[in-house]
Amino acid sequence: MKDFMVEFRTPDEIIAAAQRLKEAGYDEVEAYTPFPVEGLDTVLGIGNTPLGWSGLIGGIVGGVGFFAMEVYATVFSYRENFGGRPPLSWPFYLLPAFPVLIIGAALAILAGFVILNGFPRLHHPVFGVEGFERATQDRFFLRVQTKEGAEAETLLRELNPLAIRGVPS
Amino acid sequence: MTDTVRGDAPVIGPTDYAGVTASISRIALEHPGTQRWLICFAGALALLGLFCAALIMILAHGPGVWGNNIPVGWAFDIINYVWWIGIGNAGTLISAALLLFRQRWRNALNRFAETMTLLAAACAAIYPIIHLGRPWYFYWNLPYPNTMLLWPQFRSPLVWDAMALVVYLTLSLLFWYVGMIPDLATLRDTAPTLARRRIYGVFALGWRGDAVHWKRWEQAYHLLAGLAVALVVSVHSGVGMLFSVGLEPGWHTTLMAPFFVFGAMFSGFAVVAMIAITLRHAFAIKDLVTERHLNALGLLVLGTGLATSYGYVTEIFTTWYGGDTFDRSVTLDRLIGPYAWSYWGVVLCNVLAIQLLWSPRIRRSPAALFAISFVVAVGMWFERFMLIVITLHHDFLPSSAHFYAPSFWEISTFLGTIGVFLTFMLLFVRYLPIMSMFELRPLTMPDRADLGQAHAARGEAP
Repeated sequence: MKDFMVEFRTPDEIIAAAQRLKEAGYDEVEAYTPFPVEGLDTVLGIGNTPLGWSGLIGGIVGGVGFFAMEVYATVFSYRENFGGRPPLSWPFYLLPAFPVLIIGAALAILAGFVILNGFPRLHHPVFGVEGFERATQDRFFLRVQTKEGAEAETLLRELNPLAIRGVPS
Repeated sequence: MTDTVRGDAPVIGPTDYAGVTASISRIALEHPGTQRWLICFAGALALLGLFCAALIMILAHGPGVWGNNIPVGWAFDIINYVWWIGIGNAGTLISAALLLFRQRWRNALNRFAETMTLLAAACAAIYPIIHLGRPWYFYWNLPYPNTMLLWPQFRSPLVWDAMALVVYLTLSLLFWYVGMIPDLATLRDTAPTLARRRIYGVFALGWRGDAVHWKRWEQAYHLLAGLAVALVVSVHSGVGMLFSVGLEPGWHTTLMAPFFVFGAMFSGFAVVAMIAITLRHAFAIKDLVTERHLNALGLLVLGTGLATSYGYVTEIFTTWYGGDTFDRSVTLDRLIGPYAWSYWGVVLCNVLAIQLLWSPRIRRSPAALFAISFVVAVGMWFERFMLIVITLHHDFLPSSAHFYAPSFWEISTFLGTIGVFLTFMLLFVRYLPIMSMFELRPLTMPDRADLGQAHAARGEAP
C-alpha cells in the first residue's frame, strides 16, 4: 500500500479527479481543501451528519428539563400566591426555558462536532507532507491509498495534478 | 461599481485565493500600521483605566456613587445595558441571519460583526452585576440548590433576562469560535515564528481542511446560525419585556418587544457600518469591503430605522387612542418636559438623519455613512434615556416626581465600558483574522480580466 497526496489548483480540478478515482474503484479518498467545495462531498460519498439530531436531543433535554424544573419549583417546592397568579404560570415559564433549549442544542452540536472530528488532534500524518500547509490557503489535495504498482501511479498522473507526494506514516 | 445590491454583480473586488489569504493574514502576522494601532490602543487603555477606577468605586461604595435614586432607580446602568445589548444583536443577525438567507456579501463582514457582538454582550453583562446593591449575590438570579431552599421568581422578566443573557454570551462565543477555526488553521500555517504557529495551532484544534470535517462544520455552523437568530429575537424581546411587564406609564405596552428588536438591529447595523468603514480605511481592503457592502449596510440602517420610527409613531397613536391620563402625561413630558432634549434628539438622529440614506450616493460614501451611523448610535442612546428616565422621574404620584442628573462615576462607568470594548476590539484586530478568509475565497473569481492589476499591486507575477 502506498499513500499519496495529490495537489490541485482549482475546485473543478479536484472534483474531476475525485470523480475519476471513484470510477476507478478507489473508495477511501480523502480531500483537503481551503474552503468547503460544493459537490465534492457528493462525489466522495460523504453523507449527512448526525449533528441535527444531536441538536434536537440537546434542545429537548435543555428546554423540557428547565421547564420541568420550573414546574417543580413553583408548584411543589416553593408554592406561593404571588399577586393571584396561578401556581402553574406556564406561559411565563416558557420564556426562560427557550434560551436554555437553545443552549442545550448548541452545546450538543458543538460536542458532536468536536467529538466526531476527533478534535483536538494537533498531529496528523498529512501535516508531514511537504507543501500541505497550502491546504488551508489556496491548494486542493486528495489523499489516495493505492496498491503497489505502476498502473496506480499512471492513473494519478493522468489526473493532471500540480504535484504527487508521498504521505509519511 | 453597482447601484443596488444585485445578485449578478461581483461581491468583492478583483482578487484570488492567495490574495484573500494575504490581505487578511498579513494584518494578524505582520501588524501593518502598528503606530496608528498603538495610539488607538493607548486611548482605549486610558478608558479601560477609567473603567477600573469606576468599577472599584461602585463595588467599594455601592450605587450611591451614581446619580440614580428613588424615583429614578434605573438610569445609566440600564440605559447602557440595553444600548450595548442592542448593538450586539445586529452582529449576530448579520452573521447568522444573512448566512441563512444566502446573502454571500455578508462573508466580508461577519467575522468582525461577530466579534462586536461578543464584546458588546460582555460590556452589557457588566451592568446587571455591578448595579446591584449587593453585587456579590448576583447569582441568586439563577436556579441553584441553596440552603435557603429558595428559587428565583421565574415569572419575572429580570430572571428571564438573566437566563437569556448567559445563554447569549455563551452562544455568541461558540458561534464566533467555531466560525474561526479554519482561519486559525490558516494563520497557523502562515505564521512566521514557531511560537505563533503553536499558539494558533492549539486554538485551531488541528484543523486540516478535511472534506468530512468541512461537511460537519457547515452543518454545525448553519444549525448554530439558526439557533442564534431565534435567540437574538428572544433576547431583545425579553429586554423589552423588562419594561412592558411593569406597570409604569410609557412602558406598559405590548409594543415594547418588537420595538426593541427593531431598535437593536438599527443601532447594531450602524455600529457594524462604523467598524467596517474604519477597518476598510485602516488596512486598505477596499476590494474586500466594497461600496456594495456600504450600500447594503446603509439600506439596512435605513430600513430598520424606518421600522423604529414606525414604533415611535405607534407609541404616540396608542397613547392618544388609549386615553390613559398617565400615559398621555408621560408623552407630553417627553415632548416638552425637562428631558425633552432626549426626545427631540431621538427625532433628529433616528428619524430625520437616516432619511439621507435614501440617496445611493450618500450610502456609498464612507464618510457620510460613518457620520450618519455615529449619529444613529448616539440617537439610540438618547432613546433609551428618554424611555427610562422620563417615565421614572414622574410616573403616577406628583409627590414622587423628582429630577435626576448623572454623576461623574456614572458617566465614567459608561465611558469605561466603551474602553473595554475598544481595548478588546483592537486586540482582536491585531492578532486574529478580521475577516473570514475561507468564506471569502469562493467569492473570488480567479479568471477575471482585472486580476492582473491586483497581482501587480501586490508586487507579484500574474
